[in-house]
Amino acid sequence: MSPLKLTGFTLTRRRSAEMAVILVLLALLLVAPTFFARISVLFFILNWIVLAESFNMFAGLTGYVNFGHVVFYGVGGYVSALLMVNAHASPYVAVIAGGLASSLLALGISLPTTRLRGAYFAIATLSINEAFFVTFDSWDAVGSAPGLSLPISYYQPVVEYYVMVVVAIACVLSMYAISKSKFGIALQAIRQQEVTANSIGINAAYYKSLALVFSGFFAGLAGALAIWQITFIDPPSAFNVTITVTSISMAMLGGLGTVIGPVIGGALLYELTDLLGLSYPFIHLIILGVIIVGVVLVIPDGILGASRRVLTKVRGRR
Amino acid sequence: MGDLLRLTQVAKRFSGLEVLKDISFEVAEGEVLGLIGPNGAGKTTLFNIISGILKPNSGRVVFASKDITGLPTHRVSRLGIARTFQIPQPFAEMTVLENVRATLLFSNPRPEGKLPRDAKEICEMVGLGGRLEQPAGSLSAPEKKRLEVARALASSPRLLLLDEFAAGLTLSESSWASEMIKSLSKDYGVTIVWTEHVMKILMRSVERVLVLQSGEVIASGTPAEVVKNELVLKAYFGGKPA
Amino acid sequence: MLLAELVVLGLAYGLLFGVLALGLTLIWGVMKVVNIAHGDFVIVGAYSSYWLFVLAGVHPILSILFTAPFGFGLGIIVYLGLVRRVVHAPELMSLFLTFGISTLISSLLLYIYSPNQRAISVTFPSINGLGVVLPGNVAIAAAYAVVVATLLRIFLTKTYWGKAIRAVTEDSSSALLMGINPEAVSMLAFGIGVAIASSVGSVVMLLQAVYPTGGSEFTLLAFVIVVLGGLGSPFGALLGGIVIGVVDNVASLYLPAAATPAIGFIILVIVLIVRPSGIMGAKGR
Ligand SMILES: Nc1ncnc2c1ncn2[C@@H]1O[C@H](COP(=O)(O)OP(=O)(O)OP(=O)(O)O)[C@@H](O)[C@H]1O
Ligand SMILES: [Mg+2]
Repeated sequence: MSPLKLTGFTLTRRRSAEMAVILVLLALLLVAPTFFARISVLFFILNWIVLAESFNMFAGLTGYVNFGHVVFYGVGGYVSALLMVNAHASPYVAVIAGGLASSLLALGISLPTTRLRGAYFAIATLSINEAFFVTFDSWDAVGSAPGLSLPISYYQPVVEYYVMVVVAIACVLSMYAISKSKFGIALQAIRQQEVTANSIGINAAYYKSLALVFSGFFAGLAGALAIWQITFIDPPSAFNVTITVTSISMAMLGGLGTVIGPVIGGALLYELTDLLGLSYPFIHLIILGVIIVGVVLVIPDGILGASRRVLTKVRGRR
Repeated sequence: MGDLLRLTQVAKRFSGLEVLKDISFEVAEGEVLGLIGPNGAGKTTLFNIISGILKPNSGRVVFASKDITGLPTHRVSRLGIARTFQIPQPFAEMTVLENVRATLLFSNPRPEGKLPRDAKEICEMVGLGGRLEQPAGSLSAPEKKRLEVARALASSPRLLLLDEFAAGLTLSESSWASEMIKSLSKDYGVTIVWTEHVMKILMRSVERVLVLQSGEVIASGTPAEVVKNELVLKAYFGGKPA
Repeated sequence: MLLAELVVLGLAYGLLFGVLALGLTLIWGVMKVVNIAHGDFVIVGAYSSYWLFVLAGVHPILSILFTAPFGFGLGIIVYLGLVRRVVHAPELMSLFLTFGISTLISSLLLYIYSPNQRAISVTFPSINGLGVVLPGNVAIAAAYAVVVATLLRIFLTKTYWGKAIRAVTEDSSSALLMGINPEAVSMLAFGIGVAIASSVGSVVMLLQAVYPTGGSEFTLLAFVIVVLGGLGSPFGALLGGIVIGVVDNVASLYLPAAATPAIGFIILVIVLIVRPSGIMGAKGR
């Protein structure tokens, strides 16, 4: 969580090395379906990265925790599923509509809640989850408890994978662009000292709303894409608190407030929980709990922050 | 010159406790007004109301002929009111320069304003020229107070509210503060309201003083007049001459 | 008559809810930490009572003699090992930490005991008076709540440590000047908060079935009450509990059953919008 350089960003040698790594990764992602049989694994890694990064987009930049993150995922999933099931919409339209619906929801949630400080905001978001689950569980028009299944004709794993790649790249790039922009500086100021931010002319409520709208948009896309891939949605899977817990642990493990942290945290943790989840039910939840507690106490700035600290120490010694 | 700021019958209660009762006063354009009062007199609350952090229960705040009562803080700031905080509240992870730059980025300069618009120049003005790249959180307490002023100046204010700016400073630092404040008013045309606990620091730099006690203005006048005022002596200085 | 019965029922439940929220508000007041794991400690207490009953035949009310001190010890361990280290960190970190603890507790219970619901059947004879019938178990829960609230009041007003907790809650910097050890007070408050949650768990066993991930409902309930009563105010917590208890029960008369879980949420949102500082005012007094 290093302070933003307001001077703008300069392409240093370290930056160009980072760029090279990113380009290689991108190339690998693009050709993966030609040699990798289980692209659904890659799909879900990217899906989790988007969830973690979109959580980070709000929490990491503003310093407010949204414990209801999964609601964006669930609503995005439901809106796209409804469009595909009832209106036989094109999946692309449905996915985008899912993202837009969640960003609209984010706007709605932000209006009353961005006035709330710290703990009060967290408490309010904690309760949103429950309300959505209960509503969708008893709402017949959205399939209520039995849920919705997509027609089999929608299943196109390779296409879904490439759309996922595009969304993941867009999400990470947006996070990058936001954190380098005037908008990002406003959020930095709000996170560090909100009263002061207001008193230098920053409309904190507005910028926080906007951050939540972006966060909601990408989480909504992730939900819509996940439903396209899984072809089924019901309230327990769409509004599963575990999804929020996982997004939080991924973002924190990698480094909250950084651009790349959630990418690293997402990839690492997905692999870990996937491997363990297969053989032991529920144990991945224990691991997520341990990771959240451990990161808070040991490396509050995540793997990325900690490794940067170690690197500067090593460099300093030379 | 006309009044830049006018408060009429401003009152504020915190869960039944009356912290400000019926406060009315004006500040003329270009004036340096001192506001003294003991602990808990309501000075900070008054600033919070002017700067929009708190809404008054009744009364009006008018700035440059515009009613700003209850306006959100960021809009008050963009109209040209800047403040320092009694307990400095910088953006701790940003450097000194970044604190000032961020403020410049969001401020709304007036065409006729004379204050510099360059971050480095502003930092040098308040004597932080040697601390530009230091994270604000690691500054010493007096340096943080200087940064408060730098940040306030970066938003090109017409009215500057200084909350106990000299309290806790050493003698040389506080005489630097008086000089700087005088220069802000004389050379840059900034109108200033400056609160302190004690009279002494204000004496040399302000033209007029209001004495606030338990949420009421109990006296006003030139520093020399106020010091002699019976009420002030009794209520504020506990009967003994200052 | 049904209405009167629901009001009495709501009052009784409300007292228990209020005591549950007391634990949360005590911790917030002293160290400004919102303990998101509060409800999970309720479940820990409930499971302890369940097993004491099933394995050793210990009556749930009697098992409070175990769950209260056990919760106190657990609270102190959690405070010393974990929470203490984020008290001065940004609020974000304490929220994440207690959220992580909550996840850890519920997932451990899930792993050890499976997601199955657990219930025991112990029934006390119901109480009749003025034409109103109150189920015996609910009456016992209310009696427990009254006892705990009374003990806590005596503790907070009459003992040194109780007064110290209040002093820190009201103004931590001047409490420090008075020579109060804030570390010890925090540890004590956390211990008492968890002891309350875990003993409420024993009482909950008399009223309903529990399952490992049910803690979040109790956390949320306690939050709604605390927000309603003003964070940090013990009296506000009791009052808020009663309000929620009565509203919740009376509303069930007019609203479909599916809507009841949403009532707390609706109340919370309204309170947060209208009066973010709670019904008891800014400082909760
Ligand atoms: N948010 C608040 N809620 C409740 N009471 C408050 C609040 N803010 C201030 N007060 C009370 O209002 C009174 C005036 O406080 P204020 O901070 O305005 O005084 P002050 O003159 O600035 O004092 P000091 O010299 O100590 O800075 C005090 O009694 C204080 O306890
Ligand atoms: Mg003050």
